Amino acid sequence: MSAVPVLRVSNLTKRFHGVTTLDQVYLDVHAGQIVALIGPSGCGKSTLLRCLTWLEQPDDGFIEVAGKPLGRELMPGGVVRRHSRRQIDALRPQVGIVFQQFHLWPHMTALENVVRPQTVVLGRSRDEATRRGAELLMRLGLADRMDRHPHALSGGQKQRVAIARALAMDPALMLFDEPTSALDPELVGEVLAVLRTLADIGMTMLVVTHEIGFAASLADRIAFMDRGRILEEGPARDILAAPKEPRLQSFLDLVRTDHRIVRTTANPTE
Amino acid sequence: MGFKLDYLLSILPRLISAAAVNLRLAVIIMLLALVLGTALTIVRSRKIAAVNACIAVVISFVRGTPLLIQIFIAYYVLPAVGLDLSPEVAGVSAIAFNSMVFVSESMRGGLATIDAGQIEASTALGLPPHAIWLKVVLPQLFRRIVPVLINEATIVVKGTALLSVITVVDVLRTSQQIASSSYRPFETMIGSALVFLVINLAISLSGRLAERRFAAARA
Repeated sequence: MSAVPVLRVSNLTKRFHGVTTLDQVYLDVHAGQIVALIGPSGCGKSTLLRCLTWLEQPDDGFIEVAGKPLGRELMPGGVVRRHSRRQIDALRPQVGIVFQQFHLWPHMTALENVVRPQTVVLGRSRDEATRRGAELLMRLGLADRMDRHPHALSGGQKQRVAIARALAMDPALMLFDEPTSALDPELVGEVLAVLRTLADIGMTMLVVTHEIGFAASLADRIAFMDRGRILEEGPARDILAAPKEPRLQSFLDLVRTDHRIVRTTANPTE
Repeated sequence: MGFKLDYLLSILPRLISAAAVNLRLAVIIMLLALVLGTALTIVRSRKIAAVNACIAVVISFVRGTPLLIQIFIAYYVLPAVGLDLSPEVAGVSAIAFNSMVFVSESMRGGLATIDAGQIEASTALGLPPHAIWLKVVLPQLFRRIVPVLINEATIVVKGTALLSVITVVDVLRTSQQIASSSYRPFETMIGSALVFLVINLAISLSGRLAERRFAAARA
């Protein structure tokens, strides 16, 4: 394993109208790791993901993807140099993101959704892009859905197309924003299975979720975020079994009680 | 002087051949309006305050004054500032300019219905801005505003009749010439109205077919 982390976030800070959403965030994700980012809603998890694709410009701090600076870099002599849109776009395919609402292009078929960015951004030939797209969709169990438009796909299928679209760019890192929240609860297992297949091919992933059970069964490491800061980060088992940070402790308690409530209300006869 | 069907039929060939002028001009105008309207929409979407303020003035002028006056301005006023245009060029410019504004206004309306998330997803994949416009936004936008564009096309076709007043020999001017020599305005005016009606019915019909084809690709 190389020493250079696939993702290195240092001192990342983002303010919206004077409110600090990200407060000096530090995070390293190494090759092949699956890191779950948990925390109460509004704690900055999604903002962090958006900063990692430069959809939001952090006010301070640095992002490195596979050793290459994204968005801005520290030059020798302490000068910070901002990157142009072109430079940022060149690195963006390295970071695949799957949004909560997937955001597929509705005017293209599933296959075309996966093919188009490869030809436009990576300059692949149509044949090559189609081959790669079909192969990915097939692997994600969508062999018979390739010619459908997104409106004719189920939520889970749309998500897999979105995953294929990002994977086709051969990213070093995949980001998932709440992959279970836009889907029916019974599909959680399916999402888990899909993410596990990605893990099997050695994909590095950062997954934002508020489902502790999902995080526990998927992630190698868990990072807990609250009020814009990563308060605790470590191996998933340790974090869940023996949280040190009191806020993480109370968050876990809260979420676990919530789950019990959900379960009892879902099956009142039990 | 009553209505004579056989006279109407006898002048129809001349009117139909004159309709080729209207059709040719209308096609040129619509193409110009689409290209310029798209360009205008893209410029406006950059939200540069000073530029958009200027555009707003132009738009309110175009929307608030009669098309006929705009045509007169293109033909009679522009030569005063050194732009001496032929009747056809002046007419095409005036109507295309007018139509560009309406195309851009309806595109702006359609733009609001395109989910911003798609644009973010495109950005995150590394698509440069021009590719996002060409591959993601515009294809959806055009499909969405097909009904408006069809409507605009019929307005443009009717607008070409106005060019008869700046000496373009179109359907209306031809029928006026026939009427003034035969003293039969009834049949000639009915004839030219019919020509426009047939053209516009054909446009509406093809528009409806296009709409049905695109409906499948809509979310």
